Amino acid sequence: MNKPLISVSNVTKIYKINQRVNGLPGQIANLLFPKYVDIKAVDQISFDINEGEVVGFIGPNGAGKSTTIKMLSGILFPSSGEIHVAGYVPYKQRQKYVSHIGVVFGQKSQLSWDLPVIDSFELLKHIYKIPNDLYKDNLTLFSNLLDMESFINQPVRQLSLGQRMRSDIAAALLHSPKLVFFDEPTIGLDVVAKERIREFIHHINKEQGVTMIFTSHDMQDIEKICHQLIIIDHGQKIFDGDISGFKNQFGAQRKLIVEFEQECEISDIKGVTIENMENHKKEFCFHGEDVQMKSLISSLINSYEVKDLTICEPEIETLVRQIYERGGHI
Amino acid sequence: MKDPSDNPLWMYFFYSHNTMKSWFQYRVDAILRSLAVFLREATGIIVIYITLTKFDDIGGWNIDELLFLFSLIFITYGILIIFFTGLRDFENIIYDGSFDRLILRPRGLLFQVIASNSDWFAAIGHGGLGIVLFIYSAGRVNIHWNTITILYYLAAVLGGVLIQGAMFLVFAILSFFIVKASKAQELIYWNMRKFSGYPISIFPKFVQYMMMYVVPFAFVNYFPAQYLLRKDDMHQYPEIYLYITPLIGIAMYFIAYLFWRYSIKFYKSTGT
Amino acid sequence: MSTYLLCIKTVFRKNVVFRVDYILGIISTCLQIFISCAIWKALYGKHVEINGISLAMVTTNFVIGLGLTNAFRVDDSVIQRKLRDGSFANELLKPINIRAYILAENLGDILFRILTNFLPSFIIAVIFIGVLPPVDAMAVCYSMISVVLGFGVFWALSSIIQMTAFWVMNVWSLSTIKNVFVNVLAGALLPLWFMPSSIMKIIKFTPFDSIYFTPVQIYLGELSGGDVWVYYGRQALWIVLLYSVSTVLWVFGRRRIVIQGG
Repeated sequence: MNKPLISVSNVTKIYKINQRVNGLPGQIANLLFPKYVDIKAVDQISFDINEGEVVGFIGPNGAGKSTTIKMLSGILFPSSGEIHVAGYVPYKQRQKYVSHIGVVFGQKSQLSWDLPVIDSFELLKHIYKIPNDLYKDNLTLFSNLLDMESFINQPVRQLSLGQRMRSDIAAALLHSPKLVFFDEPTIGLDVVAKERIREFIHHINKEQGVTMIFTSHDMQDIEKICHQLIIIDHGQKIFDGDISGFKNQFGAQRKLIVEFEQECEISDIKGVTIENMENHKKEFCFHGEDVQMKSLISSLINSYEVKDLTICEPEIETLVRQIYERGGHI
Repeated sequence: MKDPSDNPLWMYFFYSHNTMKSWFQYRVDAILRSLAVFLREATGIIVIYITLTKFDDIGGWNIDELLFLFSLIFITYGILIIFFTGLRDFENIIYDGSFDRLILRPRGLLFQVIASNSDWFAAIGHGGLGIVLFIYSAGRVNIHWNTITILYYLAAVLGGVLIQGAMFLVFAILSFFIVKASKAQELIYWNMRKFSGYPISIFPKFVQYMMMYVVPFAFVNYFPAQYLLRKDDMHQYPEIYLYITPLIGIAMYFIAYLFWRYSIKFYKSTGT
Repeated sequence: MSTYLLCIKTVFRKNVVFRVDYILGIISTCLQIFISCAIWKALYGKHVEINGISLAMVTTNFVIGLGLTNAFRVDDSVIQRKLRDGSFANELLKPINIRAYILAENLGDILFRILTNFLPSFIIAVIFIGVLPPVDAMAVCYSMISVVLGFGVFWALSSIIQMTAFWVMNVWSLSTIKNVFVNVLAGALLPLWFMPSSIMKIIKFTPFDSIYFTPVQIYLGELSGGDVWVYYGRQALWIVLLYSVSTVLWVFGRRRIVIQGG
């Protein structure tokens, strides 16, 4: 039986936050006798990830995703629990460990702002001690797949967001790491750019067996690339399973927002939760397998004076909240 | 064939080369920067020069000896800033999140911080001024230059660089613990440095203690200069002070380094 | 008009947040004053007066001069930053005079620093070092007016530097050079009484001495009566001249906009 590449057991992370007080006397007191409050960012999390898998990490903002990623990449110590990645303890053998991983931060580039992309790559070549052949091969491969020929010699500050993202992804993979973390890699990109990056990532995973971990708010990202899904909320693991399982359970959630000509009472509809909103609007939530959008719309139009309606896709935040309310993972 | 990137010095210059390329994107700006730094420091000297033409000497030191004293500060700073710019500006690395990126690279953290930047303009500005002052004053003051004095001078310069490097390291470490630590750096380092242009014997006792034991600028230029010049006011101080500058540099740097290691642990357990 | 007043208020409030900053600022100013006074005390040695200038006058010069140097801190990179991050375009769309807005911001900063840096330092200096009292009550008023005019000169000069952001990549160098010239030629590093006469002749034709030195002279009574008004006129003249240059640069600069970023 293969040992998992990543093994996280009962990891907890507690931050001590200084409790700020308003008003001058309070502030002075705070300066002399600071009061600390314990915040559990991550609470007894455990999971395993096998080599070659692509895992999506989702959860509301502040759920503990980035904290977990930082502990996995060795930037933070856990307060308790154990983490093993590729035979290393990330925060203990830093220099050896990090040469096997790559990290892409969507919000912050690791490339030198004023220099041509290729110069940053050269620097990385030396930092990671990448052998010449491997470097050339990777460079050619990425340049082709990500279509970088046209801008690889331009300074990073002149690139569009999409070009910069592609460069950052290439940079993270240049030393052929076994494991790559992606933190919001497609944020702010247009549809075409997102698609191109997803394809690239998919290709690298299939051809080279690189294990990948994603955090993203983009449901499509997760859907199209990830095999496994881990949902974190309030520092706890809420769901850990494969994508199809998740889709079956929750992906079928639908929402319909209807604006009526005037205030009206809607009689109960089976399988549908109705929430009142302002401006004569009401929100209808239901499971796609129980109720059909088509029939709901036509029955509403027939029975009430409908002014306008909007069909909504479920948001991750809503989904996660619903999962949390249902109390637990599979 | 040995991988050149195994050699830290080679790596350092490779980094440095990249940084230089980055800075020289803007040529006019490059020239102006060096000029600005040079002017800023030079006017300080000119002011002192004018002052002393009216006053002959201060504390028994004449203008040439004072310029010699100053030259040591500028020369050591010029060398210092070639290597330690990253530490001087460390606060920014922490605040924009770049430090995390350094943690993710398979190289020593302090090494990466030091190699990350090199303010060549400050080096040219301060260092250039220091060399000019040295050339002007070295011939006019009462120093007998021979092998021993030359070796001593070099060792003292090195010691002075390390002492100030240790100071920068301590201020950088502060950024882990308090917000806007650079203000403290500005306040303490730059203001106290103004004192160091003058022989510390002219100042009140508590200033002397500060300059010797808290921010040891006295060991960067005053005592080394005394070794070479042997002015009367040296009698107030233990003779051994003349010799220990390099030792103090090494000791301070070593202790600061231990604090650095501790602070990294602190950073990793509390995040930003 | 109220927009600008609101702006000053906002900047004021922003500064209040950084408490450690202004305590450190006071310490820094006091240190600088202390250093300069200690050096000159050593220089004077046994003399009571040199060229008719007493040590107390020199001390007073430093307290006021250095105090004002630290208070008159203006961020010259305002326009540069807006050009860099592209927000300059937004500013052009707003129905306000951009330069007046910048003046309001700068004014807020400086008023704050006068209250929290200059005044405390002055008081500390009075307690611990021998600062001469003003010649008479009127002198204080007159010198305060002079300080305001002096600020006007300083700001107009800074405005010119801010305008260069349209042509130069980084205004830092020019800003530094400007500050150096102001500090030296305005007497904050070396009391102008001791400046060689050849240099003094040149300074008389520059705006610099009217920034810090004129207020000091009025305070000490070196200038009084009709002279004061002559010097006010001089300060005002420089404000007009420098501001005109700044305006010219502004007009040309706007045409030349190269907006970076994105």
